[in-house]
Amino acid sequence: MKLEASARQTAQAVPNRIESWAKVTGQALYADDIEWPNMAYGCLVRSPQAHARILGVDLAAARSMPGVLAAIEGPGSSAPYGIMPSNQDEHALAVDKVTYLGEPVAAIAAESFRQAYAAARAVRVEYEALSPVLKAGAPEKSLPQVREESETGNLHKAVDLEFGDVATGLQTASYRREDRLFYQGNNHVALEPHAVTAFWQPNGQIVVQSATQVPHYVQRSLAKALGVPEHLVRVMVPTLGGGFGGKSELFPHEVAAALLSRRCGRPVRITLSREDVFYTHRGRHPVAMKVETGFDAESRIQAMSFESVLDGGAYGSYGIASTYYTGALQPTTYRMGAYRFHGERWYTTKPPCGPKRGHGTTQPRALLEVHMDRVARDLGLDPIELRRKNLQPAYSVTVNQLDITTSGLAACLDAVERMSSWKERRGRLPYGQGLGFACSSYLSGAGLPIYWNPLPHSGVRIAVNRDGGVHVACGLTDIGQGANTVLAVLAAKALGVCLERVQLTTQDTATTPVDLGSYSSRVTMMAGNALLAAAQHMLSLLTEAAAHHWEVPAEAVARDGEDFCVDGGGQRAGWTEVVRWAEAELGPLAASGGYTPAPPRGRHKGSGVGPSPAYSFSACVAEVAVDDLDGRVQVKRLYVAHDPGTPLNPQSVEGQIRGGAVMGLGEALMEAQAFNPDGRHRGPHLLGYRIPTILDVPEIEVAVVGEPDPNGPMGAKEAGQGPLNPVIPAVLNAVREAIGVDLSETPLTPDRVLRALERRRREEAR
Amino acid sequence: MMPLRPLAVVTPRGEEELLRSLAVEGAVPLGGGSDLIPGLSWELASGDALVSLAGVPALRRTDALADGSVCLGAAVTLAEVARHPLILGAYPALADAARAVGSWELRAQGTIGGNVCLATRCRFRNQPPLWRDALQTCYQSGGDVCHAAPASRTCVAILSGDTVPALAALGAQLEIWGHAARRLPIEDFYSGDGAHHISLAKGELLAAIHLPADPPTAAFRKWRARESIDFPEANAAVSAVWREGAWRAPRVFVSAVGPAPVRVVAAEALLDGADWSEDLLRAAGELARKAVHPYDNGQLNVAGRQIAVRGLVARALGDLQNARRERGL
Amino acid sequence: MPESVLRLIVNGRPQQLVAADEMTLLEVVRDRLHLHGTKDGCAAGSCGSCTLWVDGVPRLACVTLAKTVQDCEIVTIEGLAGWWGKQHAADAAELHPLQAAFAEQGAVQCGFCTPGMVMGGAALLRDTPSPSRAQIQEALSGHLCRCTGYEQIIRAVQAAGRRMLDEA
Ligand SMILES: Cc1cc2nc3c(=O)[nH]c(=O)nc-3n(C[C@H](O)[C@H](O)[C@H](O)COP(=O)(O)OP(=O)(O)OC[C@H]3O[C@@H](n4cnc5c(N)ncnc54)[C@H](O)[C@@H]3O)c2cc1C
Ligand code: SF4
Ligand code: FES
Ligand code: FES
Repeated sequence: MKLEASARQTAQAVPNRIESWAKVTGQALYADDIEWPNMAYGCLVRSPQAHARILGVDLAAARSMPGVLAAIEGPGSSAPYGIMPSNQDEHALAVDKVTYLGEPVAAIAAESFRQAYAAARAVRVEYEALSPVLKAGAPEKSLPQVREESETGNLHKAVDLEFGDVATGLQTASYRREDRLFYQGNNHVALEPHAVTAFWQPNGQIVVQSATQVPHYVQRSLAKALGVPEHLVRVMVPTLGGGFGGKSELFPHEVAAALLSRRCGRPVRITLSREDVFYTHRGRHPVAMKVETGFDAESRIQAMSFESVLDGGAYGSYGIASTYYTGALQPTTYRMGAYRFHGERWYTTKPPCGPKRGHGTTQPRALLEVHMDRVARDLGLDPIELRRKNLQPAYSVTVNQLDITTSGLAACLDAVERMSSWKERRGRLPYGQGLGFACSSYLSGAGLPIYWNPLPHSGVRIAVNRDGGVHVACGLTDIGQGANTVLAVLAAKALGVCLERVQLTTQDTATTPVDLGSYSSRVTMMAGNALLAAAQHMLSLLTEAAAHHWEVPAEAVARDGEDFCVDGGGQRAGWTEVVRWAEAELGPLAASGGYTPAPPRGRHKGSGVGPSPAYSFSACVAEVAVDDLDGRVQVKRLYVAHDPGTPLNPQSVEGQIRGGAVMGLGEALMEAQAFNPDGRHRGPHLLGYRIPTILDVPEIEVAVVGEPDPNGPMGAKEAGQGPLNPVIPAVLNAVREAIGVDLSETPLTPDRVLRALERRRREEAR
Repeated sequence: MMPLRPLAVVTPRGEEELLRSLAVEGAVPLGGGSDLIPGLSWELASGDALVSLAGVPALRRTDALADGSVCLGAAVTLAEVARHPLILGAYPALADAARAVGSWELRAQGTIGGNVCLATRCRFRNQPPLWRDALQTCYQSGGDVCHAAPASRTCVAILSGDTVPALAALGAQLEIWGHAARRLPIEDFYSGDGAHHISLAKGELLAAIHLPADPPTAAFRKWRARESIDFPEANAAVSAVWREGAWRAPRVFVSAVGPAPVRVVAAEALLDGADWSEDLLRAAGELARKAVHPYDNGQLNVAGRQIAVRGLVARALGDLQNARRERGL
Repeated sequence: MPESVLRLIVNGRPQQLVAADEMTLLEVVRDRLHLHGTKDGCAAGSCGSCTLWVDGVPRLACVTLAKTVQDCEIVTIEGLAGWWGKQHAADAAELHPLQAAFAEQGAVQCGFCTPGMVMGGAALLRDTPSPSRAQIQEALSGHLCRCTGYEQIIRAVQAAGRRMLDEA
């Protein structure tokens, strides 16, 4: 059996992944697979306390153990850092207190991992225990402060936005309703645990090979943490085994590996265990939310007020952005006269929360869509009809100043309505079965970078060699979503060559122009546009070289397949030949391009969160059966429609939609990053934190709708995150339909459903 | 990864060598290791010498004996149990229970003996070492407190083997080897103390499981978080004999709700010889729910686990009815 | 710390090494034999990433002590194509049909679950040439994938099965 060799694919037949061959044969190298000569192994010493003052760290016993090369502790080891410029609150190794169980306190390097692990277990740390802080939004004075930096007590950040007059809008409404939901936090569970190898070379350069989605930010933050200029740090990313937002900033193990390497003069590898990943976390925030909406007599949204209280965990991470995001995208699906948002993020003594697929928009979307369903019920309207009355149209500006370009939202509604036979079946299913609907939208890249600067968000450099090969360099990171494939395919299409000519260098800060990283679904949009700019530049060099050679005007030069020719003139030359003419004339051929999104329209504080060059849209109908006796919510089928703009790689788009939907299903039904009252994680392993297996997943019908977006490269928007969002509320709404019980907390585990049914049974008996 | 601390692996080839190896201080039987190996790496289990049972032919056999009973060697894998014609033919509920364990690979590796002897589980103990480092040592780890049941004087960790209730409902007997061989009904094997949950003396091992000739009709049901991989949060098996137009001698066992399987005598009395209407089955389920007293040391919430027992038992009884109808009785 | 001489046939090649008794098969394969295709996603038996064949049976290398598979034949993802080639007197460079199907059907995203999935799926296809959807789901029920949502993996197994029948 031969692969339809990807090398032989043309630009027309898009392969799923240009690197699949390596992944199916075991040849793909992930961060923990690469062996460096003379490599040592590191292990972090983590706190067994959720909240405690560090009285002393005793490394002596560990240092004398066999094979130990270096042992370090927090004080003096590194400078504070943090992904948000205003939130530099992290230390690689805790300095005077620990604020979650699992926080790194010290680090060991040894000849083998076994030795490093044994030595790490032998480190003695003396703690003075403090009370854990587990609840967000509790301004009790008696609770100890988690971070000194916080605004008041443990409040990390409070934000308020108002557009239009919400008070009046609510007062004058002909109907209004308030709803609440607690959305549980959850982890990314990328199947590959984080891993890094760092080598502080004797020449002062620090080479880091890490499983990260954001090599550029890791380079920046690591330089800061280590106190060295950025150009001395090189971050390379090997094949990445999934990210979903969980590998989106600098982590303690990355800093520790560099520090240990400096101590022992050898490359140091640190690989996290699955348990470590749950402590490192940065997953979806638990959010308690409240929404109140006033409708006019035509059932149109007159005003909406939305409040969210985020449980941030022990550090800032992306938290400020996350907080704004819980209020940013409600208006991208629904037009409303006035909108108010109040958000708060609180520090607690739990692993820090951060961005996960759908960053900050998933939780509010769940409440908003449940709310819309309840409104429809009150008003006696079909839930989809109520949405139709309120859709934010294409090419419009939302109440919170976001520019919408293309919108396939209405088409998404139509598609899932049709696929699910909604009209024929909804409300006619027997007790225990139900159909539920929800829709949503997401960004195709954040409009502003994390730290302010006027530089491109993504850069691409194309070199064409005299062998006819095309070399594309870009800092983007393929986290498994297929970014490399999209880049190669776009390059081939844009230059009019077959895919086999294209070679990529990506995810390496030393050899590629900066791309900000794989987050906020920005890669296709931004790297894609940068690539098109670079390719256009390169093509004009070649076209002009051909024109010179043939002594015709450049406009006369046309393409026929890979060849260059002159229309009607009989001149024709192959790609490589023209490349050689151009190189002879101009020297080695290179062209570059960058992409910077248009500045956002809004000027208010917080206006940086929400703008995007384009928005994707999604809708979902979930069909569920709820078992009265065992409480299991069986999702029988999902119907998902998504508008990704032009699907540049249709198979990959389908894969993203399915993968996102199933991740959403996990959040709806089973996943919980939850804690015992003493601050211990309920189960930092895959039996305590459960993600869907192949037997938990229903058949999913997928529809891709929409049209090319003028801002997207060849019209593309995004598919990586958006399709997750509507699945959760669609399931919640379907369960309500099936059993008539409103559940106010995720996930809908069978024990929770059973208890709710039992409660109702008792109430009915009374 | 959390590496195992140094230990020896012993691989006896015959019965004598096996018993000799097990008599050594610190020796522990090793079935498929699917529970013991993760337990060792999390410092939950101890053992200086793991004595592998896989190389002892007598423990790997499934034999139909002359009296019509079946003898299942302790080292037979769950995958083999689930597909063996003798089991599928006469003891399908056991095959169902074996198939409900873990996943495909775990069943290819895990043995029936290991499943019966499986360490009890608890949310306050089955955690990686760091998680427990600053937590007071509980009974099962040699301390004097229970985090799951602070008022309890013993460990209430959960017996989590899926085949246990099925074997109990079928009336299976365990054959123990040691200084002297002995046999006992499986329900007498479990002490009720989660820290020392099976009655095996030092040097003893479970050698075989005897399934009775002319077994009753039986059914097994499991309740867990996902459709695969997860341990039971509650499971149940029932059996009865269809005689003279009615179900007789019912046996109702609920497990994974405490350190030992619970026999629901009240439900058995209700069911014996009665007309098994839907309502009766629900009532039997309700009696089972009342008979079990789980603690909040499973993955799913304790109230839910208790309520689920009602449905498990009612459904398992319904399965017996269906089996009877299928056989045209 | 007892050590013993470990003899294994790995991907058709006899291997001999001295290893401590507490070494898992996963450690031996990845760290000692440098076959990094077999992945470590949990080291606790709950994800399936470390699946390889021991005497033809898919097993979790992370919960298997190497010494308990003394003298056994091990096939890892790196050796699957070779195993297939031997069965079918085919060119050593050819992929197992399931490897090709994974690539073609979009069953690969980040690829971290892929080696384990392929080893599990290839064992199924060897024993059950045209498996039903339910059989595929049962065989792969211990393999977590966080990226694909599984559908394209099921399709890949079906497609490979069809192709194997067509070519048989
Ligand atoms: C992710 C995961 C999921 C699981 N899910 C389930 C599940 O759903 N249901 C379930 O029942 N189990 C489950 N298990 C546990 C385990 O795989 C099975 O119970 C299996 O049957 C254990 O058998 P084994 O031979 O591998 O046991 P081992 O690990 O070899 O042994 C288990 C214990 O029994 C002792 N032992 C083994 N054989 C004997 C004997 N003959 N005599 C005396 N003592 C003996 C050992 O010393 C050890 O203490 C799961 C395990 C994992 C890792
Ligand atoms: S039940 Fe109590 S004693 Fe037993 S393992 Fe759990 S906490 Fe420890
Ligand atoms: S690594 Fe072996 S099952 Fe997860
Ligand atoms: S492809 Fe990423 S886990 Fe399966």
